[in-house]
Formats: sequence, C-alpha cells, structure tokens
Amino acid sequence: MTGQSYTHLLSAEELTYHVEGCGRNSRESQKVIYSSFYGYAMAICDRYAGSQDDAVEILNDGFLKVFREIHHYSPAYSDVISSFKGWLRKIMVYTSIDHFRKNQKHQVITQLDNVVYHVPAVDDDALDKISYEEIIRSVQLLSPGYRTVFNLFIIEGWSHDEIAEHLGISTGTSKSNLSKARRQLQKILFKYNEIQKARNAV
Amino acid sequence: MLSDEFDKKIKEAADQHHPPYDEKAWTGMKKLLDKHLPEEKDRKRRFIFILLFPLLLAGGWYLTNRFTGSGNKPTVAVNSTQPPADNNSGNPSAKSDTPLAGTGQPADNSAGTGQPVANTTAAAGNEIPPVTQTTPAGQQPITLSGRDREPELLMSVSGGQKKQKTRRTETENATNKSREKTILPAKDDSPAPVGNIPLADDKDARNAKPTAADDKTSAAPATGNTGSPDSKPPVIADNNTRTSNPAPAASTPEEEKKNSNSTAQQQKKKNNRKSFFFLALSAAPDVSFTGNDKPGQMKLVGGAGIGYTYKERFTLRTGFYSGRKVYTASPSEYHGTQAFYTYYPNLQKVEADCKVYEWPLLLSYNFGLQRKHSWFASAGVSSLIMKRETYNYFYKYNPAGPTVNKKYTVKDQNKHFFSLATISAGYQYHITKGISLTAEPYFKIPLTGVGAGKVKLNSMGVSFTLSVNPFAKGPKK
Repeated sequence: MTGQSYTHLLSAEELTYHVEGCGRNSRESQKVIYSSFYGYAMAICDRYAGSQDDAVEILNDGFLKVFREIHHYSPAYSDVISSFKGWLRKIMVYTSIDHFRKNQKHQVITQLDNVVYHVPAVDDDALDKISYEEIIRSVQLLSPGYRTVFNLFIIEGWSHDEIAEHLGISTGTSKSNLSKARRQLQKILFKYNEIQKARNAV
Repeated sequence: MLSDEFDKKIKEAADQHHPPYDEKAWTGMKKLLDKHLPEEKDRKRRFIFILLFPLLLAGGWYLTNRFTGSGNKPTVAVNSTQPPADNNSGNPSAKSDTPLAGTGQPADNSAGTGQPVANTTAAAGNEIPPVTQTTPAGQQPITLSGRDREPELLMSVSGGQKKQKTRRTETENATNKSREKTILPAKDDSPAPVGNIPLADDKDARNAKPTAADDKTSAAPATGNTGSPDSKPPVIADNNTRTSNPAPAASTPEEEKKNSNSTAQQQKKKNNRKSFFFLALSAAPDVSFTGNDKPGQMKLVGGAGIGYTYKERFTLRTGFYSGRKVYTASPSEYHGTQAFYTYYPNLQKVEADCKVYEWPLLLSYNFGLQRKHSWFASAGVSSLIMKRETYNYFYKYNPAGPTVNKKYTVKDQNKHFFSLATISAGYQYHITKGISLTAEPYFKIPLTGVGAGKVKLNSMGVSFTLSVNPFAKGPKK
C-alpha cells in the first residue's frame, strides 16, 4: 500500500459504497477513501504548507471535515469520482486557508530584500530542467502570505476579490502579494538553476 | 508573455504533483478520528440502549410477580379497638374484612403444653365448626361453637393461671365472605385466679359478665401465627372483639400488633384507592428504523395527553404528539407504485424525513404501588398522520452506471389509523399528590406500512412525562 496512490483503483461503485460506509463512520471505508485520495489531497496541501509536517496536518484536518460531512454529500453530477474530487479539493483549500489565518499572527511577513538582485530571466529551458517536485518545493519556500495568494490566484484560479474576502485583506494587498510572490519564486528558481548548473559542471 | 509561461509551468507542476501514500499519515488521521469521530461509542450507545429496554421490561415483570404475590397472602385483621359486630341488627359496620391468618390451614399448637387443638379453620359458608380444646388435668375442657358475626369470649385456665382467649371472627363483605377464625397463641403474662371459663355461645358470650378474674385479661390481638411453636394454649381471635381489659394475652403482642396494623393498613389502602383524571406533557428521544436497516437519526417527539386512572391500578391514556421520523429504507422495504419505478429505476436506497402526528391509545397496569413511586406496564395502539414526507431516492439509470439521487415531497396525503402497536414499561415518581414524573421506555411495532412507500416502520425511545392531576386535594392541615 505504501508508495502508491489508489485514486485510479476506485470505481464509481466502489467510491459510492465507501462514501456510504464513511457515512456510517466505518473505519475501513474511511481508510480506503483516505488512501485513495491521499496523493490528490496532499498535492494541494503541499503547496500551502511550509513543511511536510504542516502539510500532513492540513491534510488530516481536511479529511476530518470530509468524514464529518460526508453523510450530507451527494454527487453534483454524473461523474461520481470527479464530483467527489472537486468537493474534496474545495475542503482542502479552505482548510489550508484556515491554517494560514490561524498562523498568520504568529508569522512575520518577510519583506523583499532591499538589495536589488540582477535576476536573469528564467527561460523555458531553465524551468524545464527543474522538476515539478522542485517547483513545488520552491513554492513551499515562499513566505506564507505570498504563498497562499500565489496558490489561490495561479493554481485555484480565484479572483483578487475572492482572495481578499477569504483572507481578510484588501484587493490591493492581494495583488501586491501576488507580484511579490512571483518575484520571490523566480529568485528561488534561479538559485535552483544555478545549483543545477554547478552540479552539471562537476 | 514570460509570466504567462511561468504561471503555466507552475500549474503543470501542481497538476503533476502526486505525493506517494504514507501510512504514518494515516496513523495520525486515525488518532484524530478516534478523538473526534469515535467508532465504538456509537456501537456502545446503541448496545446500551438495546440492552436497557429489555432489562426494564424484565424488571417490571419480576416486580409484578413479587408485589402481586405478596398481596395474595392471607393476613389476619385484628383490631382490638373495633366495636363488636352486631349480628342481629344486621349491621355491616364491621370493617375488619381482612382474612384471618392461617385460613385453610390447620392449627397445631401442641408444643410445650401438649395441648392439641383441633382445626378451627373456617369452613365454607357461615358456620364455624365446633372446636374442642383439651387442657391439662384439672382444667375444664372448652367447647366452642360459633355463629356468624358473633363475638365470643373464652376464658381458659391453665396451670393455675388464668388465660383469656378471644375468638375473633372475620367479618367480610356481606355478599361474599364467610367468617373465619384461627387459633392464636395466648400470652401467658396476666396472672389470674382460677376461675370458670365462659363457654363460647351466642348469647352466652354476649351476656357473660366478666368476673374479677377477667378484669386482668384482655383480648389477644389476632395474628397470623397459627401453629406457632408457642408453649401456651392458643387463643381464638375475633377481630370484632372488644374487651374491657387491656392487658395483652398474646405471647408477642407487639409483633402481633404490628402485623395487624400493617394488615389493616393494607386493607384500608386497598379500599381507599382512588380514580382520577390527569393531564400529561411528554417528550421522548425517538429512533426509527425499518427491518434490518440501521436506525435513523434520533429525533425528539413531544406532545400532550390526558388519562384516567381507575383505582390507581389501571390507566387509560391518549394524546396528541408530533415528531419527525428519519430513517433509511432499502429497496425491499419501500413499496412504490408501478409508475414510481419508471421514474426511479434500479432503486438503491431511500432516505426519508417525515413529520408525523401521532394519536396513541394505551392501557397501563400499575403495580408496585408505593407512596412515592410505582411501576407500570403498558400496551396499546397508535394512529399516524403523515403531515409532510420528504424522500431522497438514490437510484441508477442502468445497473452499471453511477448512482444519482432526487428528492420528492408529499404533504397531507397519508393517514394510518391504528397502524402501530406499542409496548412499554416504566417508573413513576410522585413529586406531590397531584404531580408525578414518569420515565417510560417503549417499542412500537408496525401493524401496517406507512407513508408513500408503505414502509413498515419500527420506533423505539424513552418517554419522559409530567403528569398533573388538577383535582388532587392537598395535604390536610
């Protein structure tokens, strides 16, 4: 079971069966759902968390909400699996936002360095050489506020108004944070690229 | 634009990112679930609930046998202060209708003194057979004969001491009971000179004047202690007897008095049981389920009622109650019309949420009556009015396809009279004379199917009722 994602192994009937089982608080069904959608949900939580432990914490809190409310869940459309994934995704994103808001007051929002870096353009070739995993790890290195806005705008496709409403900030701050997040991410990816070049040279 | 390419790349990275499953993460998840959504508690709660109800019924059955069994034991009504019954006047004033102890049982008080006593138990009818009591040498034999409702005084002398026997007769209901008498041990603590012993006879007994020796004797309070291993000659007790000599003649007067008082009290209580109306307010957590399906959500049922209690023994109750029945039915439990299955083919399950009005009619038997509390068992029928029925049908268009669902609501369409049978048992605590609290676990069994799907719906719960007798009199001041 370890090292595998079971998303593709569950058929629509199996998913329906185990959703019902989760409604009855069956541990067996809960484990099947958890393990089947672990990869999908963790991919979301990874981007919002600063560390692996934080990501697991967000993931488990999100699944707890899922299992609490699953008896109210009914598929919105005929594709049962896609419908469930969409519902799960929404819960994971909101749980991530909750974590951010809860930890916001404890974090110092880092400012961009005053020193001006000459950041060369990260061309396509450079990005191609960096794996998806490293890109995600780079996103994790962003400041929490920048990271959350970046994820919600770029990956979830939210508008700045929606982001502002959910995070309790202004629209202008959302835009500013996004711009800063992009620049910070470019810096990080540049460093990755430089490290990669150095490795290749050796 | 570069930033667009950059964003696109980030999105691709996000879509392609699938961390591998980690069992450790599930360990943490399980701990969270055990803390916030414990699995065992549901089972425990259900188990305790299912176990409690039969235990209460079993307890009620046991108490029924115990308390009704004790009421059947014959007791002796002895009241030395009661006036003698006047047989000639036909006065049914004698209220000592408690049967004498040892009714139907032979009395054998031959221990110690070697004085066998013939059986004096009451025969059927109005006549009391004669009794011959042999006494030690030197003493006069005593022959007793009796008549209905006639107090008799007997004096016996034994061993230089004067003893007094009284024969008590039982005065029963004028239409049914016959008088009985029993032989009681006499208390041998009143010294009296040897003297003549008046015979037990109608007129003679009444007209017999007490001698000096008699002054120191008194009627023995009758008890149920026939055949007690007492060394003293027995005394025939008459509960109508009144004597002018207060000295006790029984061997254990305090005990006999206690027994007689309690017997008299019991009889008095029995006669004083009242009938009354009462109003009731009830609330009950209720769970519904069909066949072997899991129980639905627990919902509160509440309402008001009225009842009539007869002689504190039988109670008839009715009322009006409102509540919700939430349950899940499998396709085999739900019986739709033919047209129904064209709309909902391949039905998987039905989730129902129905608002119902209920009219119960229950008959209760009260037992274990105490001053402050009592137990009861009930049975009856209920009628259901389906006020609003909301069904969520889960079905498939084809067996291999996904499950979809659709809701359907029915209002004020279905009425089912006497569709549920109810059995229950409970405990009632009397706060005051007119106010009481009741806890009553119940179980409702369907006699017919109810609702749009003619579902055979079971229910169970615990009803808590506040009853008020508006006509109850307060305590005397």
